[in-house]
Amino acid sequence: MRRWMTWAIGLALVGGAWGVIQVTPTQDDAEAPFPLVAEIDQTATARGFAVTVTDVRLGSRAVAGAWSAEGTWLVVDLEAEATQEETGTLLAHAELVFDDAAYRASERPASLLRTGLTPGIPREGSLAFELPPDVVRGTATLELGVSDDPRLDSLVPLPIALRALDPADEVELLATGWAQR
Amino acid sequence: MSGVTVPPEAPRPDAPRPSRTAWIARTWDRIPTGWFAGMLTAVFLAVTAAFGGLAQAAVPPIPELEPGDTHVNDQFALTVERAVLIDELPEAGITTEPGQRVLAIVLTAENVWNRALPSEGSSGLRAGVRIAELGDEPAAAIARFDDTTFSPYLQPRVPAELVLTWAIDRGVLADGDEIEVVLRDLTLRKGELVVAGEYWETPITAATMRLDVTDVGAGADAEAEADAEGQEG
Repeated sequence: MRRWMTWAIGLALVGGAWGVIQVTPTQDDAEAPFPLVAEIDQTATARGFAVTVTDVRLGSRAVAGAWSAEGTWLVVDLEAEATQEETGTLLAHAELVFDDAAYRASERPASLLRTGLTPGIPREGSLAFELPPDVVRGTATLELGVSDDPRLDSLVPLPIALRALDPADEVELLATGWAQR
Repeated sequence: MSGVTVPPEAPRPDAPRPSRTAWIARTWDRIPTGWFAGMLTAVFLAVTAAFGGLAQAAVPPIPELEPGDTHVNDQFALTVERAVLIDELPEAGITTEPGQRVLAIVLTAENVWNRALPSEGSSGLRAGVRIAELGDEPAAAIARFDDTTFSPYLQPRVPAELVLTWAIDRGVLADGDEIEVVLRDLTLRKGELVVAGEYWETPITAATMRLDVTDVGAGADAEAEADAEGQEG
């Protein structure tokens, strides 16, 4: 075999190995959640739960009953129900992803966060996100799921154009209750 | 058989002239192989000596902060504000046994990472704050100052004023005593193979701060009430 051919085959193999590494899915890919992209007022039926985001509001003060706090608040109104079983179906994963950062629904006000869901009888309420003031300029993605650990489970992402929202002075969370419909 | 035998020393017409550095190769060839280990050892020792030998490397001093200074690590920007001694503080989520009082540290924490961080737990703020006088005792409770939410999550780039509390035996600290707040940095670890997710672990002391403890007795409200009663009487 000619010397140049040996080198060419060697380099091709090294290049091929690099290519295989590039296209091999990572562990994160292998464990990625199954997304079910939803829109506002559109019901997404995922594994074990169904959710409808009915409204998204932005304000510089959030109010929930006697509780209130200043800041930059995004309040998401939604209806959610379990589809399989009541036991263990909680709205446990509620994050707002913007750029590279993930904001968790605030546990400060009483909200739907970690509320138990019931099959067939939707719950109605809100989630509140406390954000830095400059996040309000872009498009964020709301992620909803019923596992603390979203891996390999269905997850409902919902894009929210924060820039298009008109900030109010005060936004009030809906009282958590049974949905009227 | 006949032929012309060329003497080995005879210079061949096309041989290159011996270069100036040829003596290095000749000398190298004459070093007995057994010496190499010794030479490498000597070089290693010489380099070690040049970098200060086996003496303890100087540890950079841990910075001492003033109250109000901000310490920034990979997780939080922490500004310790004040230390208060109080009889009890159930609003901050702490319960005391008889004979105990509460040491409360008020600080502002801003999460500088890109995900929400818990205040409690081994990855949270609790792991990063200690009181030197209390040893390696983590805060018994952490609550928000404004609405007394217990064990709050800290959202990225949203500062929060928090109250960290320890139950201490009565008499351990008194008004005007100085305590040393120890701020520790944690390192992010990404799980691999059987471990999933990201964790903050291995706290290392990064800064200290001396704070004067203010004894507010039964609490500001109780004192105000007592004052009002005193003025009336």
